[in-house]
Amino acid sequence: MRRRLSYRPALGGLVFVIGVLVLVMAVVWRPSNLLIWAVGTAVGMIVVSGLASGAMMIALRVRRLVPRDARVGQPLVLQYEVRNASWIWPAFAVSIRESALGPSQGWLVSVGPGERCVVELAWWPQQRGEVQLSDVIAQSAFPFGLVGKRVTWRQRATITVLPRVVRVPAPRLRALLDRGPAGQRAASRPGHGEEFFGVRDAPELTSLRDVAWRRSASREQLAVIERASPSYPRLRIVLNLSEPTDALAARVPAGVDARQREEDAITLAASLASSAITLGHEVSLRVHGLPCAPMPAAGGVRHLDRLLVQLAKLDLDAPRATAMVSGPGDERSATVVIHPGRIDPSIGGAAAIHQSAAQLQSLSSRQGSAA
Amino acid sequence: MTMPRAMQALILVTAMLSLSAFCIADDSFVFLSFSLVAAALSGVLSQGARPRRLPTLVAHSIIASLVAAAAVSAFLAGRPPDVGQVGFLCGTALVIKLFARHRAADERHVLALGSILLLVAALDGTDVLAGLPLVLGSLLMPVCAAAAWVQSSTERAAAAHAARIPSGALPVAFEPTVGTSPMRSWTGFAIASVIVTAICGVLVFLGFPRQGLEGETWSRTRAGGFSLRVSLASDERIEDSRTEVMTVRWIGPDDVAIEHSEPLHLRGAVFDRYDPISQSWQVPQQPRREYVEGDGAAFVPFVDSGIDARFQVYRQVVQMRGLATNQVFSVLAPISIQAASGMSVALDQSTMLLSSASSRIGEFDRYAVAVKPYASDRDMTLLSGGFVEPGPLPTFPVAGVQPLALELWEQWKPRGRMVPDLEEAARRPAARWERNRAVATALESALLSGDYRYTTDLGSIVRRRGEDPIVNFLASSRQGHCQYFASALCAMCQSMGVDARVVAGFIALEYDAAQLQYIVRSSNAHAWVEVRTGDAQWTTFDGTPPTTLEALQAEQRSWADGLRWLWDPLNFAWTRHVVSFDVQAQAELADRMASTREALSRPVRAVREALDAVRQRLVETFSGLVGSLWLVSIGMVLAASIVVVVLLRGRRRRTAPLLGPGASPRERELTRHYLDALRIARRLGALRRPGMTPFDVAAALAVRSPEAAMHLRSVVEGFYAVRFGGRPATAERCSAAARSLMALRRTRTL
Repeated sequence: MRRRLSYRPALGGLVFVIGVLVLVMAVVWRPSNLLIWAVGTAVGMIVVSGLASGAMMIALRVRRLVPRDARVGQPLVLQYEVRNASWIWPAFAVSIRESALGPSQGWLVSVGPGERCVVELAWWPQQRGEVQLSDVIAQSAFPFGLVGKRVTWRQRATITVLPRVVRVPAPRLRALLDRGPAGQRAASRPGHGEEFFGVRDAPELTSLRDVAWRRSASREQLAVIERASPSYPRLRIVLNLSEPTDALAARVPAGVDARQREEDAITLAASLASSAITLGHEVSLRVHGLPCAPMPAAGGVRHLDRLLVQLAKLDLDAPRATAMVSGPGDERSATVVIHPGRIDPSIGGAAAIHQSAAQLQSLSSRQGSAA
Repeated sequence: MTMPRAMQALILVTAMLSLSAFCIADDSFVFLSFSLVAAALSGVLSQGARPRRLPTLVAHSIIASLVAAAAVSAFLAGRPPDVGQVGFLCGTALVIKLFARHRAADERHVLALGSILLLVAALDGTDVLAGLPLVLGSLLMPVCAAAAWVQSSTERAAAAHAARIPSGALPVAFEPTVGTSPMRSWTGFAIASVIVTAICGVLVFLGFPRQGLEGETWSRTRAGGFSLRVSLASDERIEDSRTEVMTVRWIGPDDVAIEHSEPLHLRGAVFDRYDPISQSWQVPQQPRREYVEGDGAAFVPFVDSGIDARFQVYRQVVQMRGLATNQVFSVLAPISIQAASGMSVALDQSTMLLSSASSRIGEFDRYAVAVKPYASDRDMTLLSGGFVEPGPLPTFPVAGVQPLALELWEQWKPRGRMVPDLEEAARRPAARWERNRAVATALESALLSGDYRYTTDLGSIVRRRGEDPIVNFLASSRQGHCQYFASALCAMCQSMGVDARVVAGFIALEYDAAQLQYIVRSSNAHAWVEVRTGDAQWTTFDGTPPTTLEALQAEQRSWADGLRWLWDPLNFAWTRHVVSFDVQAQAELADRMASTREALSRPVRAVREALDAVRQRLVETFSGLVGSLWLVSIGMVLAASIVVVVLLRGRRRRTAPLLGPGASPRERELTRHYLDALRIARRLGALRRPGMTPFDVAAALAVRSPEAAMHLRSVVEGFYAVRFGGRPATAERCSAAARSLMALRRTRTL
C-alpha cells in the first residue's frame, strides 16, 4: 500500500491571498494598528489552513475493505476503513474516492485523533465486466478551502460487475420450459416426492398410507413403500455469440446498436438463469463463440453467482469462434438458445426454443427490472 | 448540542461580536441595540423543531433594495459613501441574512459581512470597547469559517451524490461518516485554531513595519484627535469620539481646584511654516531643549532661578486616560513639573512645549505642571533661555492670502487708534509687537464675526484644482474645522508680517464640578494661533467660534459618560499597548528581545562549554587501540539496543491492530504466534486471499501438508478462544500455541 501526498491550489486560496494583500495595502494607505491585527489574523488563517490540513492528511490511513460483486444498474456500496493515526489532530471534511470509479465519493465529516471509522462510497455500475480498482484517494481542502490536499494509496483489487437481470415472470418461464422435455422427474434416491422408489422392511408402522399391503402379506412382515426424491426441471441456456459484432451490425435494423444487442442477449441469459434458479430449477450454460467453460446444470444461489460471473467475464472484443462448443447433452433439459441477432435454428437441437435479444425489451417493458 | 447546532450558535456569536465592534467604533449605539436584539431574536426563531426563517428571495430583495438606495443616495450627494455608511449597509444586510440562514452559503455570507464589519471597525475604532469584540471576533472568525466550510462541503457532497444517482436506479441515501466524538474533536480544533491565529496575529502586530512615523504615536495620525501634523489636504470627516483622553485638575494659587475663567488651551505641538505643496504646517527646526528629572514629590523648575513662583502660579494635574503619548500637555507657560522619580522631561525653549524623554510610549501617564498663564516678559525670557532676537518680518508663501487678509484688515482694523505700519514694525520691536497684537485681534474678530461656519464634515466643500485650502476657506467655502480657522488666522497674520504660529493640542471645555476636574475627550482636540506680542511673549488667539465648540460639546454629552470610570483605565492600557504601538515601541521591543536573547545565551554557552569539555575528555579517553575497542564495543551495544527497541516496537505494532488498546503481554504473545503461523502457511503455499478465514487457509494447506494444517488450526483455535471466545490467555495456552508453531515450522510440504 503506497502513499502519495500532493497539493492542489484552489481558486478560493488565491482570492484569499489577494484579499490579504489588499488588506496590507489598506494598512499602508491608512495606518491603523487594528488593521494590522486583522492582517495578522488573516495570516493566522493561512497558517491554520496549512497546519491543520497538512497534519490531518498526513496522519490519515485509508484501507479499502474487501469489495463484493456489483450488478449493472444496482448500487454497490464500497467500504473503507479510515484510521486517524494522529494522537492530536482530528480530521474533518475528507472525501474518499476511487480513481477508477470517476466522481463517486464517500464523505467523512469528522474522525477524532486515534479513531477509526468506516466510510461508504456508493457506485452505480453501468456496464458488466471486471473493474480494476487501483488508487484510493482521500482529498480535503479543510479548513477554509484555500489549498486542496490529496493523499493517494495504491490498493489494487478487482470488482466483477454482474450483468443486469430482468425478472422473467413465472408463467412465461413455465411456458418456455413446458415446450421442452423438461418435465419433473424422479431422482434415483429416496426422498419425499410422489414417485415410487422401492419397498423396504419397516420395523414400526409409520403411516397406513405407506404400507405395501401385498408385500407385507406375502412376506408376513411389515413392508412400506419408499418414495423417490423429486428432481427439479432443468434448463439449458445456450448463448450464441459466435457471430462477430461487426457482422451482427450489418444485420440488425438501422439505429440499433449491435454491441447493445449482444449485451441484451447476455442480460436475457442472466435473467432466464436467475428466474429459473429462483423457481427451483437447475440451469446449465453454454456460450458459443467465446472462450467460456460450459457450466453443468445445478441449482442454488452459489451456482447462480458462478453463472453470472461467467457471463460478466465475457469479453465481447475477443475473437469469435465459429465452432460449436461440445458438451454433454441432456435430453431431459429444456434448451433455450439466445441469439443477439437473427435466429439460427441449427443450434441447440430440434426441441430447442430460440429467443432473440430483442425480446428482452418486451420482457423488461412489461415487468420492469428487478432481481 | 449537536455539531451543526453548535456551529450555528458560534457563527451567530461571531456575527454579534462583529456588529458590536462596528457599532461601538462608529458610536452608533442605537443601531447596536437594534441589531443585537434582532440577531438574538434570529437565533431564537431559527432553533427548534419548526424554525422560522425569512425566504432567501425576500432577504436578497431587501438587501438589493438597500444597496440600490445607498447607491442612489451617493449619486445624488455626488460623492461615494464613506466607510461608516458601508458598515451600516453591511450591518443591516448581516442582520437580514441572520433571519434567512437556510444553507451553508447563507452562513458564509453572514461571515463575509461580519468580516467587512470587523475591518470597518478596525479602520474607525480605537476604543477598547470596540477593540475587544474586534479581537475576539477576529479570533473566532477562522473557527466559524472552518465550520461553514465543513457544512458547505458536506452539502456539496450530498448534492453531488444525488446528482450521480442514475435515473431509475435504486437510490442510496447519502450518509456522511461522523466519528464517535465530533464535538470533542471540533473543540480541540477550535482551541488550537484560536491559539495559532492569536500567535500569528501578535507576531504580525509586533513585527509589521511601521515606517515613516517615528516620533508620533500611531493613533495620532488620524484625522480627529490630537496629531503632530496639521494638514489641510484631506477632506475626511473628523471623528467626534467621546473617548476620554485625560483629566485635568486646575488648582489655583490658593491651592483650591477651580474652573478657569477661560477654556484651557493644552498645548501639544507648534507649527510655524506652511508648505503649500503638501498643504500642511511644519514644525520649527532646531529646537532648543532643556531636560529636567522628576524626583517624585517636589516640583522641579525648568529654569534654576529668576522666575517668581509666588504669584499667579497655577498647577495643572494631568491624568492620562485614553491616549498614550510622549507629549506633555500644558497651558502656556510651564515653569516647573512634578513627575515620577527618574522621569526625564524636555522643554523646548523656542516653543515652550514639554515632552517625555523616555522611549516608552505612555509611560508618562500622570504628572503635574506649574504654569504661569500670565507670565511676565522677564519670566518668558528666562524660560526661553535668554533674549531671542526678533528676525525679519515673516511672509506667507501663498500669494492669494494677503489680499484677503488686507481686505479683512480694512474692515476690522481698530478705529480711532494708530497702528504702526510695517516699516516701523521692522525698525522698532515694540512697534512690531503692538502691530502684531492689533492685526491678530482684528483678524480674529473677523473670523469670529459669524461669516465663517464651523463644520467637521468637509465632504461638501467644493475646491478647485490647485486652489490652496486656506484661500478656499477664506474666499469661497467659509466653513471648516478648527485647523482651518487656525490656519487661516495664522496665514493672514504671516502674510501681513505678523509673527504667528499654529498650536495643536486640546481645549478643555467640560468641567466636572463633582470631581473638580476638566474632562478632555478625543473630540476636544483643537488648533489655535499664538502671536508674538513681546520679546519672549506669545499670546493665544483662537479664531474658532467658542460657542460652536461648547454647543458641540454639549450635544455629544450622553448618559454613558457617567460610566466611563469603569473602562477608562482599560481603555488607557489598550491605547498605550495596542493603538499607540508604533515604530518606537517596536525598536524598544527589539532591544528588549536582544537583551533577553543575550541573557538566554549565557546558560546555552555554559552548556556548550561543558559539552566541549566532555568531548575533549572522551577524545583523551578513547584515543589509541584500547580506546578504539571501547568505542566499537559501546557502538555495538548501542546499535544492538536500537535494533532491539525497533524490533519490540515492530512486534507491538504488528499485534496492535488485532488486539486494540489494553492487551496483556500474553495476549500479544498469542497474537504473534497466530500471525507467525499464518506467515509460515503462506510460505508453505497456502495464500490467504480476500474473504478467506484462517480455517480456510488451513484447509488449503491440508492439501499440501495435513500435519501443517493441523498445527495451524491449533494455533488459530488458541488465538480465537482468547480473542473472540473470552477465554483467558493463560501460560498453558501460550505454550501450546508456541509448541504448535514450532511444529509448524518443522513441517515439510508434500
